[in-house]
Amino acid sequence: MNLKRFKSLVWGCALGALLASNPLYAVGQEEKSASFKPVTSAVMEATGAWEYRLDTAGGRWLAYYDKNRLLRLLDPEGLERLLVPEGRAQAPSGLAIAASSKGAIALWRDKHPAKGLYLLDTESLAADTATIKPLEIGGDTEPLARFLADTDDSGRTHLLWYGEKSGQPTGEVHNLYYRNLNRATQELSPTELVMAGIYPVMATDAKGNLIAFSWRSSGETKQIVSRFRSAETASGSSASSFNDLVEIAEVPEVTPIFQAFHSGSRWFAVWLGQYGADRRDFRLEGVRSDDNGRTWTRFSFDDLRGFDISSLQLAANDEGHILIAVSGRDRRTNDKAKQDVYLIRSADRGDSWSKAAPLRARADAGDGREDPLALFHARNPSVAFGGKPGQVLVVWEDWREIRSGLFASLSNDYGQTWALSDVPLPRPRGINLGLRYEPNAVYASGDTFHVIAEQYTDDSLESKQLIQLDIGGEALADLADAAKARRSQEMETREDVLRKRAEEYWSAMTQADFTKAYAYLDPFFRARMPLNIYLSNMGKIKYSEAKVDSIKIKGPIAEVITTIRASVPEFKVPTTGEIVSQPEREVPVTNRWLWLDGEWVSEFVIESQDIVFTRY
Amino acid sequence: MFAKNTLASAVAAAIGVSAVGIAQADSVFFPYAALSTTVTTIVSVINTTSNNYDQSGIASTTANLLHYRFYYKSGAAADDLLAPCEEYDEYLPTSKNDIQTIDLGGVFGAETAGVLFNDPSINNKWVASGRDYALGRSVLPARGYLFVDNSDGVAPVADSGQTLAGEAFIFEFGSGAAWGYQAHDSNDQNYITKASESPSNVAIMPFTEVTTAFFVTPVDGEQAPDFQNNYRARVEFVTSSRGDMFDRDENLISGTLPQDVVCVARVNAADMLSDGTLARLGDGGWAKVHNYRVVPNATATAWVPAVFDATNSAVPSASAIRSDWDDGAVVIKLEYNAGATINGEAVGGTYNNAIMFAPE
Repeated sequence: MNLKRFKSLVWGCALGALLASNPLYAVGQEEKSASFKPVTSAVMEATGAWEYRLDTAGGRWLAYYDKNRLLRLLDPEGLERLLVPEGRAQAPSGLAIAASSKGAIALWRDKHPAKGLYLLDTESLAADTATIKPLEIGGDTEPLARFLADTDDSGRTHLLWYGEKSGQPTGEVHNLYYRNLNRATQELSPTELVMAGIYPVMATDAKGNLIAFSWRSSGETKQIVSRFRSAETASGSSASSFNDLVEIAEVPEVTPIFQAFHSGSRWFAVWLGQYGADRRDFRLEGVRSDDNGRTWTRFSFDDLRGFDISSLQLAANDEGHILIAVSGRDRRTNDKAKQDVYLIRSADRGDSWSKAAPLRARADAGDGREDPLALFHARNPSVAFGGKPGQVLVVWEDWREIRSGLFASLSNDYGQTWALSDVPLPRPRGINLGLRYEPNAVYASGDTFHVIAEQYTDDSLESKQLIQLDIGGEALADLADAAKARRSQEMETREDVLRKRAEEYWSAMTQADFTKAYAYLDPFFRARMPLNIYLSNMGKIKYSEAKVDSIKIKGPIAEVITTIRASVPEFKVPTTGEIVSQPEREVPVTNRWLWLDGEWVSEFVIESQDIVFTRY
Repeated sequence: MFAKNTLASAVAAAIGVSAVGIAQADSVFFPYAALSTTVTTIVSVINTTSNNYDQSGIASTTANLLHYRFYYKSGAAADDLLAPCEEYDEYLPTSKNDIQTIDLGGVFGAETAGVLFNDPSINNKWVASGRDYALGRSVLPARGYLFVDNSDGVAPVADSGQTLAGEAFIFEFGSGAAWGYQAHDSNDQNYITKASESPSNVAIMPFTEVTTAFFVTPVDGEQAPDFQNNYRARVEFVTSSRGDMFDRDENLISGTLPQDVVCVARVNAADMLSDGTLARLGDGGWAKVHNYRVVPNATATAWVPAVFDATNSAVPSASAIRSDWDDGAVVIKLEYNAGATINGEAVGGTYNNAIMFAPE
């Protein structure tokens, strides 16, 4: 069946049924405070791309790749369609969506029926995939899978992509190309070579003005450059519709963190530059222009110098409030630090910026003790303005509970202070929720914020589905209270419970009951290493006694030292015939135990390779 | 802890047969060894000459000792990319056309001084010597490399061609995972030409499913320095003119990070990428991996790329021109699974694959 109808907000679909049948999804306070709704019908790869846009009526158009790399589009009513025929060979890649009063435009790269960049206007969406006829817009530019689409108030959709056509006047293989679509007439402007580069970066305003940026690499010279295109410029002439290229800044290397936006009539670009011979002098920096890109003023966020930024999302309005939410870690001296989340804000349209403020509440900051949260990743923050002036919600992925969950902070003064800070959003027991580095996963309608989160389908963390979480300010306050009560209750009993669990685990080991011992191991290991394979690797060591000596608990992590007596009974190495054995001896063993889903589990470590299966 | 090491090297230096003094000996170079409570490295040394050493390191056509030199970093330093190596050396018995297979960690062959496989100790009297071939037995966990030389071609001993060879086998005996390589050999101690080709195209499997690491050992005109090895090399992904690599859809993505290594180290491929780049490369891709030696700049404030001096190949010097930078390290790629899958499909256990990038 090529056409499938799904009402994504109805609890009748596969995920809905799963959630409804799971009693853990309806526990106590969590049920009252916020609600989960499945968004997607098909399972996605954990790294699978998705994108969404709101149309002028506030309707959400969302497209995603499923696990078979088939591209699916969800309309605001929850109707889901395949955009490519089911069962075809893997070919589509990349994804962009633009939306307006007339629905949405989806853009993807494909090799079917021929290699090109394909555009589908939902106004012309056919009833089934067999008759869907997307428009190829890449021409002979040999487009690659990185492109943008934005629709202005006049209904014109601006398209920017990069391609690998050789022999271009820039002298480079990789170049940015532009054209636009007049949705009223379905007329496409001619393809224009904009400039060299590998990252198409673009901002547009409602009138249809746009500015394109690129990081241009030509020999030893590497620069951030821009070209402005006025809405007044007529398309169709042989001359370029873009103003001359402006060289903005010499930047030796950049990461993929590179975005453009505007606030009122001021244009911005921000990027993560890499400086120094070791490229570890990371600098989050940017430029602004008040004259449509003729001149630029450069700025940088110096308190994040040396921080490797893994994601950047922003919210900017025409009143001059700008919020930039990033995740990053200091990599100047090592690669071991965990990622953390920060917010930078401006109330004067980027004339000045706040310091990068950590979004996670620090316990006992400044007393010299290690920050307990430094043991856990937090990443991929999303940020959005709310329906009321000053209201802001920031949501991020946080691993402080060993599983990934979502945390949020709510402000009523554009992020200057927090009315509710560092609040855990509901996460059903045994479930991992996360956010992707893109898109910005939060948006508001009326008094409600909507978060589109990624729910991993199991603890192997290999696949996911999208869910929607709707939260209002009152709900967030309830969640904060509930989390506080839960934490204090759990703290009371954890050490006694841990000792009992550790003794039970070692009892199973001494009795060679490895099936029972397996159940005490962390679920991330068990999801990746089935019981039968685990059992096939056990038994070479014979444990005779075990005594739990000491327990040291730090938050959800505990170090347990156990003195064991063990020996290696004689066995012959199959390949060499060598006889190997070890006499019984007493040794102290240190294990890390984790407080997970309301119980302690032992973290499995492959010591020889320093591999753990947890991801916190 | 290693007085024997210091004594042996000091004595050798004092009598003029230190490493520099025996520069024309044949040698074999095992660029990587790993030792821990669950991993060991088994090396086979093949010697086809009777031109060896006596216990004082004197070259002779009738002597019966090979010179084993184990360069290692142990304990916490084993995971420190920039820690130098210490040298531990021994003169150990050999004989013409002998093969000696040794467990450097001493896990196997515990009753036979690390010597494996029923070696009869008739011509090569390794039992009578009372020596321990498990050179890393007491320094677990450790990483290192092994250098072995004989006296072939050392005056007054005539040169009878290339007479040493070897193979290595790194074995995780807990899981059974193993990989190996053919050791490099030379008729002197200069291993500059044995550096892996720079750049080499390298395939990277999905980061979330397969761990990819590089074992990097800087090479030098003097691969067996006395007492300590602090040679420094750099590896990095530069695939176009930028620090970048390709994903599996032919997209170039920038944001790579160089990593410096002293003596020998393991570098995780993920640590050679910025976090934003890594997040966008879930399925892996391919890159040109570069390797070259680095030396202090004129003010000793930074490490800069180097070329080997044509007139004195043991001494690298700074160069600002990338195309001039000489290949500077042996690079081995290791890839293994963290779970029991490949491509998301069950494989029923562990796999562990290694590729040594060949010299140019």
